[in-house]
Amino acid sequence: MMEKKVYIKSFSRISVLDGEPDCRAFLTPMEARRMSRMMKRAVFVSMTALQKAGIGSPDAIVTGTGLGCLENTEAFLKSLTGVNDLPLRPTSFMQSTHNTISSMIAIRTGCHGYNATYSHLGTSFESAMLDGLLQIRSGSAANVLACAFEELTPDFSRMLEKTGFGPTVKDGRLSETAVAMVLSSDPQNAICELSSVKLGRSGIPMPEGFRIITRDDAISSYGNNFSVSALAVCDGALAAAEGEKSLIYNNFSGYDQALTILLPPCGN
Amino acid sequence: MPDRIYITGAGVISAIGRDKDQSLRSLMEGRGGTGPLHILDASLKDYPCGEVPFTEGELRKMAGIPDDGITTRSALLGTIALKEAVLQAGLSAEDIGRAALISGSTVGGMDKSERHYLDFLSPRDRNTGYIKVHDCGSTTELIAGAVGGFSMATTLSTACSSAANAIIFGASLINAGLADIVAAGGTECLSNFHLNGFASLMILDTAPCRPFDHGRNGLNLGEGAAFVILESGSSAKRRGAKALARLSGWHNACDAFHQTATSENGDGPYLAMKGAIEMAGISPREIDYVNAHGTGTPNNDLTESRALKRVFTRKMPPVSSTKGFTGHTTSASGSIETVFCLLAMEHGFIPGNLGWTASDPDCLTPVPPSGLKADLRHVLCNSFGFGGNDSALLLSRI
Repeated sequence: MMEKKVYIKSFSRISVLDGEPDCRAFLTPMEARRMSRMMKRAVFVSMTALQKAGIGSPDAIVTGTGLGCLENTEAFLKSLTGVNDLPLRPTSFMQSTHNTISSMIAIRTGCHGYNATYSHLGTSFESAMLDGLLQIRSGSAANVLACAFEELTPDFSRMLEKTGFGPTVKDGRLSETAVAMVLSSDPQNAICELSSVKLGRSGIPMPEGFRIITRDDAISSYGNNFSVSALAVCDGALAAAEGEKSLIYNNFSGYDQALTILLPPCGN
Repeated sequence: MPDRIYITGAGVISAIGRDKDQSLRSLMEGRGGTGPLHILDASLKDYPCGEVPFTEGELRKMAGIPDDGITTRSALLGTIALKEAVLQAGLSAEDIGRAALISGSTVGGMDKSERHYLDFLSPRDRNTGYIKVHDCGSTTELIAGAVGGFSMATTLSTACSSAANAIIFGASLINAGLADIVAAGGTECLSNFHLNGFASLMILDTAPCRPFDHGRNGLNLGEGAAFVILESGSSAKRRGAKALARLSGWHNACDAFHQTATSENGDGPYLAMKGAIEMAGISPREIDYVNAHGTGTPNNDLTESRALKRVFTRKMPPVSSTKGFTGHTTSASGSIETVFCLLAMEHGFIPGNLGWTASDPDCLTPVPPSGLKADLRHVLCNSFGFGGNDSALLLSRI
């Protein structure tokens, strides 16, 4: 049986190279005031990617985030541990769970379909993207909104710098990511084909004949955060659209790696 | 047509037992595990919880982890449960080497973060190592490291349905031919963050929880971990592994209504249950038991009852919640209750709905607290989470 092909139809992203988005098209001032910065960005990139793909409500939503809603988590932790005297706010707790964003987008788009959030260090986004790919290949969904979000707080960036761990390796500049992309079984107007996503440990066999974008390449362009590889996938998609077969090698660590293969659309 | 998916091993630890044998005895004898907290240095004392009655030192011994390494309580609980599952499945080092590990967690290393947060904030280098294991994925990696092997690992974080969704993703990997053995489940420890969070939402009961009861007044938090070994039919056959049950259906749906409350008629729960039953290709009448999410909050039990009535229009199967035994083990509940369902199928009983005394006319009437004897062929297990992340798993006897 021919395996169903999966395409990237559209994406929208916010990296250190972009300013804060203008959310007025998607949020009332009242809604915007109640949201963390990351939630506002999430609404912006999700709704923009869906609009570009001409989709109102996706069949499924998958999200990757290594650290989740840090701002709300910290707000609750600070009240809890007496760092400040502010009362414990139920809203901070409610919006501290990692799946807050995926469910908020589901509510906004009226999506009752498959909804999953992955939180696995540097391969959170690829985990979500692989799940989305399988949803389409199995025929459970015709299109999937796949997202990646990381936010940074001043306190957490100081903590990460203390550990010298993970997002701080090789490049001291820490950053944030917001990416939403529409995966679809429909090749019409697709940016590229999402040929495969592999998760594995070190030593995943590397195929030849691809333009390779590594995690370090992404870090040098966008700064470092757990989900920076999602920005590399966007770059790979643009390269594939120009006819270059692209491989995104997310060499996060010896124990978590991911390979994403993107091909020019319509079998060029 | 994808290969069938079998469960060839299971392991569990919770307030009612450190393994399957102890859990089985507690379930059959109707002995719950909730009560005052002894291990967690709790900032709130009024809420009974389902605490695993072992210190970190004791858990380290049980998990076979040295005393000095950085770890989290969730990782220790998960390691103990996963080792039991691997042992029962009879996996060799080579088998584990090619297996995938899919875990579910929401608090990750929060038990350490909340204890050492002032150190984290200070410029001093004290307890800095715990910053590295704050996130959810690190707990999964600690478990992977303690057990050894695994060709890939990832972590679901969909609040209280995390473990159920880990099992669903594991099944997707097998169906797609990307893995033939997957260790899937979840782990969650008690923390002041969680305790205060649920207290701030005013959904914790100061008395033992009473799912589906007329006078129910909230949930009790719990902790624990469970893993199952999912295996393709061809792999199980090749290894000569004995299957405990078949994972015959699953479905993940989103209520898409509110961050913490469920829609009036339980749309997400309804879609999850309906989808799982349809996938198995059976009729709702063939379901012999439903292990409900049944947290004991007024909202969950009402909307879950409504959703169950929408699915089971002709005849309501026996329904019970085991939250009265363990408390609500949040991210781990989906896999802990899956293991309870496996035990129920194997030993021909339905766990009682502890704490229930009086009918709520708007809710279904659950199985009595004493439980029932029953021959179970098809069992549905519900897990619903904040954010409307609702999932159902369907287990069928071989």
